[in-house]
Amino acid sequence: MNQTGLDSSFILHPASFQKGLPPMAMELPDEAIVYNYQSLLVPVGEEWNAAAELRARHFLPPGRLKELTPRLMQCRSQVAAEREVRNVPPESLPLDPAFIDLPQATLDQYRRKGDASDLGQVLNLAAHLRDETDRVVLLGIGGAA
Amino acid sequence: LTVVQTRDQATRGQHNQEGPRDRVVNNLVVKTPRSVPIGVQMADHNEDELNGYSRKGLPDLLGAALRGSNQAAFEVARSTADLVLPALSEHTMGQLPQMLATVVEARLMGLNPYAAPAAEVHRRNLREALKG
Repeated sequence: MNQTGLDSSFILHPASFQKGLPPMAMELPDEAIVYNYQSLLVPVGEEWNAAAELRARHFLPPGRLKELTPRLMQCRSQVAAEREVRNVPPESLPLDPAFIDLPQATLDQYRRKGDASDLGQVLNLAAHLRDETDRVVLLGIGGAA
Repeated sequence: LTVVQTRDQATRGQHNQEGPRDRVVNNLVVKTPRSVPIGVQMADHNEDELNGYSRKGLPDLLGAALRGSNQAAFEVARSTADLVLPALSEHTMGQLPQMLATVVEARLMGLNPYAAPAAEVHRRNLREALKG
């Protein structure tokens, strides 16, 4: 906590998105993205001068962020919880949070099914193309790619 | 509007420092380098008077530049924040755009991140335009 009474950073812990993963899941307990936003907040109790006046006018009042924090945490919890939802209510459709687990699920399938898995087929095709190709160009557009 | 650019002061840094007060600068920082940092070497004749920084690694230089830029911005009341990745890995890069920038942000805006009704309208219009 800091002098504004707020946590100085918003931390996105991987663990909060890893519920229900199999025992072989990749564990990255120390890897967390941290958002240090302290320097965009209006400093509390700052002595008046011209720069302080500008900061008071243009920086974010801590109170506004404090109001927003519960909503932010709710969004994060919602995203994490959506992975566990099996019966999706109609008003929430489409709901496709499976992409969060996709990297690990892809690796697990490869371990179980080998060449018959999606990754196994990709690797086989890559091995085949490697002998015939010296450049590969990937084309895609935004989220559809 | 989100704009991605280098933090180089010689390009748009000056604009951020002295231009319109219509932006927040979010620095994307990688905390731990993936490989052994490149170190500053000694020049035989110290032409640029930089030998005092020999043995500093690239992360030291980048960290000092970041702190210097943020301090300069603070002094003239320019908002900055740092988004710090613990390392540059597939995991963190996946977290950043998918979890933070797309899904959580969409939920915060009250949108369903998994739906794309606007994209479907574009596709329909495209198909109609191609008929003509």
